[in-house]
Order: sequence, then structure tokens, then C-alpha cells
Amino acid sequence: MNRGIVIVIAATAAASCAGTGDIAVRALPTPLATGQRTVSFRVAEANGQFALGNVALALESYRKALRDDPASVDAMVGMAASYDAMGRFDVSRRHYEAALAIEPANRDLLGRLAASLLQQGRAAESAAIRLEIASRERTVAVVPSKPAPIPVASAPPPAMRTAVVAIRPTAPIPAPVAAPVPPPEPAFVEEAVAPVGASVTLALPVARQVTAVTVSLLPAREPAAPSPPVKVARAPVAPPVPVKIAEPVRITGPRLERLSLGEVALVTTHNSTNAFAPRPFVSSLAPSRPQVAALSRPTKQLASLARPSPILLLNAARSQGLAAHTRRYLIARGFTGAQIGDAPRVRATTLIIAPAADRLRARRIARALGILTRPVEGKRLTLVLGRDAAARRVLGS
Amino acid sequence: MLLLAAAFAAASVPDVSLAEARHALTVGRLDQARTMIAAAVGAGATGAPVDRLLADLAFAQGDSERSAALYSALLMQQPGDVVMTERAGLSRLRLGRLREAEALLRRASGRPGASWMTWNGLGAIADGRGDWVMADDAYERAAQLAPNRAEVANNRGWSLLLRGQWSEAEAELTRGVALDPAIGRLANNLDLARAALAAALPARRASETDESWSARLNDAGVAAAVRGERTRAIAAFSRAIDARAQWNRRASANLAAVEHSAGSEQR
Repeated sequence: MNRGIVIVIAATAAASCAGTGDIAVRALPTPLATGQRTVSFRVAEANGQFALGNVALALESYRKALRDDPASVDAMVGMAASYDAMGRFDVSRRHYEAALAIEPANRDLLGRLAASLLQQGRAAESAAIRLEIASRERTVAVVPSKPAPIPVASAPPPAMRTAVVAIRPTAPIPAPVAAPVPPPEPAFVEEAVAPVGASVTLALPVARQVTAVTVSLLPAREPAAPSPPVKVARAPVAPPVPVKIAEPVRITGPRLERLSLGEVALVTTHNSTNAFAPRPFVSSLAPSRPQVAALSRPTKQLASLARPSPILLLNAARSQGLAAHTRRYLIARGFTGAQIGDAPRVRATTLIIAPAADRLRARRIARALGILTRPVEGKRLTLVLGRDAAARRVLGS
Repeated sequence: MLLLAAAFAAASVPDVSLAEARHALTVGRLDQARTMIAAAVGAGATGAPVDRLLADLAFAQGDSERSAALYSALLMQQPGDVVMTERAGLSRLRLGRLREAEALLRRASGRPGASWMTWNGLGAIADGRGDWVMADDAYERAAQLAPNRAEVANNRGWSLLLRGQWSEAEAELTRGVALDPAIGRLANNLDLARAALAAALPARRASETDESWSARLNDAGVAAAVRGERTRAIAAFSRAIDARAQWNRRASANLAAVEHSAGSEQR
């Protein structure tokens, strides 16, 4: 009896629980903290995820940190490291450089960039950055512990919130560059000492001639000391790209000529025995990977010399759009410059008319269209599209 | 970048050194340099040093239109600057404004401090005119100034290719590749020279993509056509077309050109 009562009570309780919806559905905890968090929290969180190997989560958290503080070097470095881990070195480099733009003398940052380059197999570039790090370390080592500040003309007291364009005379200032400019050295000599408050510029004992123009980013500006001419070091530049133009032919026989940044032309001449055709023939032959990187189409002038006479497509099937459709079909296969029209009479079969010089091209067009008939001798390359062409599935409009 | 520039402005002690920006530019960290220059300009930095940095940045980025304009403006103030004269000339060379480029490069070459790039550019201009004597002289001077620059070997090799001196071109380009194997352009040019000298069409390399193989076949066709081996050229172009699943417009145009050339000669 008692057992029966207990069963009834339990069943009733279960039914009532289901009916009132007490069963709660809760979201699983997300790996990243939600809500507003500080940048340092986000960076720490991301570092943790990165250490666990959760690169995507780390990236997400670094991104949130960077969104809150676009100048967060830690977040930038974290993002760069994440992209390094993903093999996206192109993106990682951008983040390293963005961080270096904020802290250009940060040797740890430079070291990370060097490691990234080494990871990519760019050992020479990595070594150059290592040299730069060493140079910066040497520079820091020779800085006296309490360098005496050099008063700058019109430098405001630290309390003033005015901006100063301060000139840092680290070395004798050369005259405007008229003499040869020595190539830049990989090492860099300037070590900025960041002042607090208004801009205070300190002279550092440096070895090489580098004139630094320091711009203090504060709200207002004050008349600055006159800017001396800046000695300009030569930046590494891409090698000059040779540009070739087609000029009057000076040598006989076929040869390659570079016509533009991305184009090479084969220049040939007619057979010298042909006394009636002495005009040089210029055709454009473009290597797939020419000496210059960009590829371009032939220039109009030269292309017109090389361009074969246009194909005439005549619709002899009274099938609307047949000639236009065929022209599109041929263009897709490299036969450009076709003209279209209607034939005076209807034809059952397609006819190809071609001069002897265009016989090869006519055969290629016939092959492309699946036409078996042989070309008929004529003055101009003409394709008279008959009803058989309209019937073809490939050409049917 | 704008965001970053804004971040600079908001930062507490953000001394932005134009010298650091210049250094970044010098060592090839262009993104860093651009950001720093933008921040400096945003903070009110103006004048010739900033303009010079902007010109150098544009030059390094290959924005020849902009660099040509900026260097021209700067040369009005400093007409004796050999580096700016050289770069103004090279910018115009890239833009195809050869007459202006040659005038500027000649001016730079007459001054002490002209670099190998001046002579390399003059060599390229001479090649365009088919003036091989001047080209040889210019490349020789470039090589004297920078004997270990692969770019000089590349341009000299290309000049020899233009003349049809395939063996000499191959030797020069091989030397260039030894100097700097990372320059893909050099390797491609060497491929072209070797394709011209090889008896057979290039074979497919292990794990080579369709696109790469097709490109090499097309190059071999160009080389064969230049040497007058029309049948071989047609075979190479045809195989280049077949090698790719996509339509190879370039090889097709080359094939048509060679066939048209054959037809013209028959006529």
C-alpha cells in the first residue's frame, strides 16, 4: 500500500515538473570571456589560448584587444605570431611592421620579425635584422645613464601641453646632398628617449650621420626650430625595369624586342627574295614569363601590324543570332576580330572561303567549329554559316 | 593605417621619428615606413624631408607616377641631388617615358655618385633602341659599380637574348642566378635561354603544375620562333595550349602569329 502511494507521488511530481518547464537549457561556456574586458585581459586570454595551441581563438581575442586599443603592440605581436603559426607570413609581416611603427626601437619585436623571416627561409633578411638588433643594443650600451638634455630652442616646460617639433642634432648636419650618398648601413643608430609630457630631445652619442626630425604628437604646435637639411640615405629599391620600345629595325633577321613592360615581340622580315614585299613584318610573341613581371597585351599599333585580316561571318541559315553566337564562340577560342553579316542566300551547309595565305587559319577555324569541308579559294577569309551550323548544338542559338 | 595613425595621435608619448621612418624605408619595411610617415604627417610634419620620404616610399612601392611627380618637385629645390635625379629618371623609365628618362639618367650619370642603377637604366634604354654598343658600355659600367648585383647580370643577359646570342645570354643569366637565386625573373629568363638552346621541347618537371609547364612550353616556342625553327615553335605552342585545362590565350596568339608569319612568307 505504502509502496503504491510513493510511486503515485513520484509519477505526479515528474509529470508536474515536465509540465511547468523547469528543465533549463543552458549554453555551454564559451572559450573566450564575453562582455567588456580590458585590453590587457584580452591579450592575456589570447596568450593563454595561443599557448594551448588554439590559434584561432587566440586570434579572435587579439583582434578584440586591438579593436579596443588600436595601438596595442602586444595585440599586434600576438596577431602576427598567430598568423605565423598559420603559415600566413604575408599577414604576419604586416602586423609586425604595424607594431614596429609604434615601437621602432623595440628589439624584442625586431627579434620576432627576424625569427619569422627565418621560419620562411629568408635567412639573409633575418640576419640583417639581427645585425640591426645588435647595432641598437650597442647604441643603448654607450648611452650614459643620465644623459644631459640639450635645451631646444623654444622648448616649453614639461607641464605645457604644447607640441614641439624638435630637432635632434645627433651628428653634424651635412649640406644638401650634392655629393655621393653613401649606401645605408643596416645598423641604425638612433635611440629615442621618450620624454614625459612635452617633447624633450636628448642628444645621444652616436657614431654615424643620421639627422632625426622628431615630431611630438601633442595637440597644439609651437614654432619649431628651423629644420636642417636632412641627409637622405638611399633606400633599397627594386632594380630598374628595362623598358624596350620598338624602333626602326636596325638589324636583319628575326629577333626579340621588348615592346613594353610586359611584352616581347618577335620581329622578322619578309624573305629578301620577295622584291615586292620589303615592309618588315612585326608580330607579337609573348613569353609566358617575360623579364618583367607584368604581362600586357600588345600595343594597338604593333598588334595591328601583326593582326591577321578579320574573319567575315555570314549568316546563311536565317537563324537569328547565329553569326553573333559563332563570333562569341570563336573569340573564346582565340579567334578575335570577326565581323558579322547576313549572306544573300540561304545555304544548307557551311562554306569556308579563304585566300591561300589564310589557309592555315581557315583550317584551324574549321577544326574549332567541327566543319569538315575544305576551304574554297577566295579573296577574304569568310565563313558562310549554313543550316548545318545552326543545327549544331555547340553553335545553336 | 588611418586607424593606426589615429592611435598614434591618441598615444601618450608617441615620438615619431622621421629618421626611424627613413630607416624602415631603407631596410624595406614599407608598411612600417608608411604608417610612421602617415602619423608624422597627421601630426603636422611638413616640408622637404617629408616630401622626400613620400617620394622614396612611392618609388619603393613601385608607384612610379607619384614618385616621378614628387621627385620632379623636389628637384626644383635641389637640382643637384644625384639620387633624386636617378630615381626621377628610373620612375619615368618604368612609365615608359623614355626620352625624359634618358635625359635624367644621363644627367645623373655625369655626376659623381651615380649608382649602378643609373647605368642599368641607360642600358635598358639603349636596348630598346637596339644600340648594342651603348648598351654594352652602360652594363659594363653598372657591373663595375656593382659587380655582385644579379640585376645587372639579368639585364645584360636579357640584352644578349634580344640580339639572339643565346649561349652568351645563358652564361650571363646563369651567373646572375648564382648571385641571387631568389629572383624569379632571372630564373625565367634563364629558362628562356635554355629553351632556345635545347634540342627538344621542355619536359614536364616532377610535380609541376599545368600552368607552369604550359608557360615553359610557350617560352620554348617563342625562342624557337626567334631562331627560325617554325615547326618546333608550332609544336611548342600547340603543346602549351594542350598542357592547360584553361584556354591559353597567349600561346594561341603566338601560334596564330607564327602561322600567319609562315603564310605571309609563302605569299
